[in-house]
Amino acid sequence: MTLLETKRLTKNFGGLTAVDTVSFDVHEGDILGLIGPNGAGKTTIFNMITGIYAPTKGEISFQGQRIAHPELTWRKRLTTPVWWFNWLPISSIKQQWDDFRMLRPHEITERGIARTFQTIHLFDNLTAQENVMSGPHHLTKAGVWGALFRPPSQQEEEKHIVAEARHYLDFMGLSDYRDELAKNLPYGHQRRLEIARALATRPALIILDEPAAGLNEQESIELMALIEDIRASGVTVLLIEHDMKVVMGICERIIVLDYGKKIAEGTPAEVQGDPRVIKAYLGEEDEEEEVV
Amino acid sequence: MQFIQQMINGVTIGAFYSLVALGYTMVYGVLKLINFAHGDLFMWGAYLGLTVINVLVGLMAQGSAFFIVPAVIIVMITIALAGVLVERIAYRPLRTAGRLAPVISALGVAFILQSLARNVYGASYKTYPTGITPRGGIVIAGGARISVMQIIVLAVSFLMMGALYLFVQRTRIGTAMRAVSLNHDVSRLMGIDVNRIIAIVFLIGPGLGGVAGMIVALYYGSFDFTLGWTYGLKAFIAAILGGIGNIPGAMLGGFLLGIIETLGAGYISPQWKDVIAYVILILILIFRPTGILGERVAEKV
Amino acid sequence: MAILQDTVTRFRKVNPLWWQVGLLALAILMPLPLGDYYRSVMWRTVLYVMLGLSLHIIVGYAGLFQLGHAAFYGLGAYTCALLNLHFDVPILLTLPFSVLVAALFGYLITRPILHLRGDYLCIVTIAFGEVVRLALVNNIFGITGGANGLSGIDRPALFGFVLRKPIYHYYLTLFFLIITIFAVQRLEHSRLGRAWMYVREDEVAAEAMGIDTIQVKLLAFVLGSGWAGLAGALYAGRITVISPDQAKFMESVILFCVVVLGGAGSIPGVFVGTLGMVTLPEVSRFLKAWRDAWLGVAMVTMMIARPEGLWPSRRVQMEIRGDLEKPTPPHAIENQ
Repeated sequence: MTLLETKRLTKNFGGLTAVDTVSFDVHEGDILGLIGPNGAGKTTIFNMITGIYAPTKGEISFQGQRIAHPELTWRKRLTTPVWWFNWLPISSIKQQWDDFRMLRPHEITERGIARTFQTIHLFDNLTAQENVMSGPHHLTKAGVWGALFRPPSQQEEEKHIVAEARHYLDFMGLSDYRDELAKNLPYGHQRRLEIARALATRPALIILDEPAAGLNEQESIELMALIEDIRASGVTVLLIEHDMKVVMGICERIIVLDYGKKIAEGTPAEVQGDPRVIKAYLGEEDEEEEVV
Repeated sequence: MQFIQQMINGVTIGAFYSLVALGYTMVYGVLKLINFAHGDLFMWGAYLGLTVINVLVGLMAQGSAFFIVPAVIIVMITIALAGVLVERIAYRPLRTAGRLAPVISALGVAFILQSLARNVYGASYKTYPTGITPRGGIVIAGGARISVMQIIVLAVSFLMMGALYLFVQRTRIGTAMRAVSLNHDVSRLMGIDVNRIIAIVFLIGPGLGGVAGMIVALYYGSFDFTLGWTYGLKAFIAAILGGIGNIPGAMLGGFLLGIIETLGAGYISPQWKDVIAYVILILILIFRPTGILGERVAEKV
Repeated sequence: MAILQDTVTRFRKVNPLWWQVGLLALAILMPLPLGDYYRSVMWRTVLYVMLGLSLHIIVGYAGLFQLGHAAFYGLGAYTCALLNLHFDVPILLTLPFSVLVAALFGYLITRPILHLRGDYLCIVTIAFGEVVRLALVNNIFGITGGANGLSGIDRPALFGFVLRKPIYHYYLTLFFLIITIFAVQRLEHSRLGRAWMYVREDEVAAEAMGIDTIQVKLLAFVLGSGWAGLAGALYAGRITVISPDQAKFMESVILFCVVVLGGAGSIPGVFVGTLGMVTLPEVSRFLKAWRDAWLGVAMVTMMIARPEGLWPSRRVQMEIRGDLEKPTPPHAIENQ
């Protein structure tokens, strides 16, 4: 079943076309890899999926609903009734409005897409556990009243949040570091913490942006096992990666981008043999091109 | 006729705002710091000018408009040096301390300067002695009158602004200033002594501000220690309006603000003229924070 | 400096509950042997601690530089005064209205500016503060009494007993202060408090974790503003005369310094800040005349010597050394 669909996705920054008419599907239970030389547009696509940029053209759908589309011109806004009446508390209008407007990143997360970042965006001065506790935030609802008066429902909720956080820390093998400040953790653990935190939002789809960056051989192998575990737990995985061992090792399908365009798609074997892919990667001294 | 008169007055006030706004914008350009102390240096220009003129009057036993010239020079130099001192003591140690610390330090300096002025000179209004401010004016189109003082103000302002513009655009130091405002590290790599450039900025900015202070005091006749605060904030608004970090922007912003404010006071109500200025600021920051001419420094990553 | 730091750390190790009980006892007993003048000073101190805490929610938790906070203090005072003067509402009953009005204005004023970058946000708050003050001075809608303000406000009355002397006001305000401290601590250690921490640490990441950063910031502003309104009403009930000067920029700066210099992100810090910025200038005549300079010197030296304040919380100490405010543009982060 198709979980995420991008249709002819395009993004221009001024005169630069970062993403050019890219279409692909992510199916439930996939481990899908997005690869390509630097500047190919991979993170830009991720940013469009998660609501940080709006596409210049094309759209993205998740679980059957549109979540990203080009920015609306004022003309479009003024001439569409739902823009005028979006404040009415009628559910069908609310649905239309959600389809019509730009979604903010936190709403994308609420719908079930979580992400990690290329440069680590942990809450540096908070402990690992506190970091992961941010995950269940959108699934809970205690507010000012709950904070001030601590009714039983709020206390239950707090216990639940802590339990969730510990569960995901366990899952990523970080239980021992629960009370360590995030910035004091070794780099490999920081990467894992980011993943734990993202998983704690209970997504249907998790997007990993270069999770193996800076990891040594042993850590990469552990990462691959972890990604398998993630998929086994019911979360679909979409990842950007440069480390070919990791990509070819765990991805079942791979999409290759170059200069913003999709140039190949298929199984690791298919992609490795594709002449266009080889051409795109020729000249990159650091990358390993042979795979296990 | 009233419109032209208002325009003349507005442009004059605009000239003051511009002169002070230049100080703000230049400092923001090279340090990314909102120098709250600038308005108070401006205010000290007024007080210092008063002292100098009083001394001269005492020496000469009579007043004369020509006293303004030496007074202005003394004021400009002193306030410029004060500016450099402030930078050395209160801002330089905080170069690497993020955005919040220098702002607080600047506020602190502003308060120190204000308090100093109040305790040294007293809290009452001060006036410049008679016979100093040139009198008279000429009547121009439609019955509007432009006073000699206004002509002097405009002439001096345009002169100084023109000189500054040429300085920034045509000289090596000016180019260095523009480089520093874009990127400190790269400037250093290019061989620019960033500290020296910053010191020069703090000479020029407060220098201009000090002179403006003295001329404002002459123009209005009386002032007190809150002068710095009101003008400071207005000039700051002018700088933001024109685009902070941008020298032509500060000039444009100053004149625009002066005109809008005067017209507003004349046609709407004099009480609300300050509010107009603040509302402009709020609207600009919400809808177009880069100002009219846009921020000089790139903000987007 | 090092000795001070050691003493501080040693104090922290003592059981916090004993600390609080001890302080409470001190607070209750201290005014008894003192004369009216000093009791008045204590009242003012307690009021400003309350105000400091209200700003603490905004600056210390949500990390937003609010330099126009005194406006809400003034709005609260004026609401109380107007209700009392025109409708004979007893002071204590005006309190909830003062809170509501201040909170409402807090919402209206901050909603349009939350997307702004740190230092721009700061400037807009200054501007808003001044607009409120000028509106009060200009006798907007004809009710605010102009530059001289309003006078003849009643004193608060509890079950018919009118609180006239400074000591009663002290205890009344102390009571509210205790509630405030309790509430602020509860907020800090809650889901909402965590959300504030996340937003302050890394707004982009917080948003990515499903936290509605705009709503969270707004909540901080509304709560903080409402609380300031409460303090304003308490002030009106004691001094019985109010003027637009309550909302002036200098007040906002003092409050900001109380929170930041005392140690942004720490409740004891607000106490220390108030003692330095408010109490000290009250008791020292020399400082009173040079009050602005004292403030200024404190600000400059603190920033240079110890920019995280005198008594910071563990977290903030680590943050301020680098970049307290991470300016994040509204959208873009990485770009590939």
